[in-house]
Amino acid sequence: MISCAKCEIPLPFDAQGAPEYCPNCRRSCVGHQFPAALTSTGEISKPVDPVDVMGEASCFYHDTKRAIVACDGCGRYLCSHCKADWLGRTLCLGCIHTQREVKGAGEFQSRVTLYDNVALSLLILPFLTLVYGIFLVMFTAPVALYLVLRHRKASRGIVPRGPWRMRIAGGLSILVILGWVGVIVAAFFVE
Amino acid sequence: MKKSFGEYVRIARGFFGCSSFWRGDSHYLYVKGSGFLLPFSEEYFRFEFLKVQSVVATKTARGTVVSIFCGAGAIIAALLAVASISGLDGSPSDPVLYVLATLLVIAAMVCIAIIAVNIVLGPTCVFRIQTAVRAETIRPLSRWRHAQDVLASMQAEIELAQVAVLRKAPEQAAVAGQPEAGSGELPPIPTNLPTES
Repeated sequence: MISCAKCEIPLPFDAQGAPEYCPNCRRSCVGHQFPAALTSTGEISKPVDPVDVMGEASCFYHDTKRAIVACDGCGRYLCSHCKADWLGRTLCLGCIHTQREVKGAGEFQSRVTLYDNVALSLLILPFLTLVYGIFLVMFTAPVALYLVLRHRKASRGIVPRGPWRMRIAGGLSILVILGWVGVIVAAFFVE
Repeated sequence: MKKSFGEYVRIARGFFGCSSFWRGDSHYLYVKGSGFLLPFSEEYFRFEFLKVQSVVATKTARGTVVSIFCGAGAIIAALLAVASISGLDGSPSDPVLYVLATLLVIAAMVCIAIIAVNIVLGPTCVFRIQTAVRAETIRPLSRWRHAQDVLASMQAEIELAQVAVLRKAPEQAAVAGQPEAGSGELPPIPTNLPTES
């Protein structure tokens, strides 16, 4: 069933099996429904064969299902329900969990914090308050420098990102801190 | 932001590189960024070709509304700028009026630029991918014309992958000595079933 992307009301179909407009919000729609929507499981996968011959390998997690592949991570035999194709490798869910939660491998992550952008924002966003930004950045620059030093080797996500944001944030925060130290010292000596 | 890396080719990207949508060998990757001006965190959603149930794009009026507001803003800013310039009379407050008029002209030009970009990019839309467990709105695909092109290419790729597996499944079942689904007879019903006590 295709639903309107805006109001989520099921869409009517024209002669070609494609929706034209939403009956609720009257907006134009284009879309397509694939064979996966018509299967009982809601997805297309190869059928699971039961183990019916003595001596055949069975799935590690389902001893009545025939194993079709071995996990590339741990070597356990897996049926088609238990295997997961992940970036060209066949893995079991246990290995994916280990890679994601324990080892924190970049390509297995589902969420990553971009500390380089956070540090840059700490230095730039205070200036949205115009002149007050000069004073606010006195407090945010040390935090930005801490984030740069603490997370300089942290994962930058799946999409490749260069180190220039981290370097700019580090350089700017050092400059701001030195500037403010200079101003305070100068003010102290002038008095 | 790169146009491709590894197996991925970029299909669309959002403003400031916050979100992006990529095509891989066997799946689509949606990078959903959240933050203010810059993305502070990214979430990754993978949509296997075999598991996509539907894709749909619905046209919205967001672009028109933004254009109307920007048009109104540009007119107001331009009128105020004219009023500021007309107030110049050689008094000491003239420099302030000059600065004010300049800022208002810049604001009006920004509004006009937004309208121009809106017209060039075309109408807006909401694009959504549905699987058995998730329906995700793809934010970078927010323009109707681009969404239609992407939808056409996605339709071809996904159908090719799903139909190939559907055709292969009965062949594999036949090789394994199993009858095709729906081709067999029902097993006899046993008569000596135990009764519940």
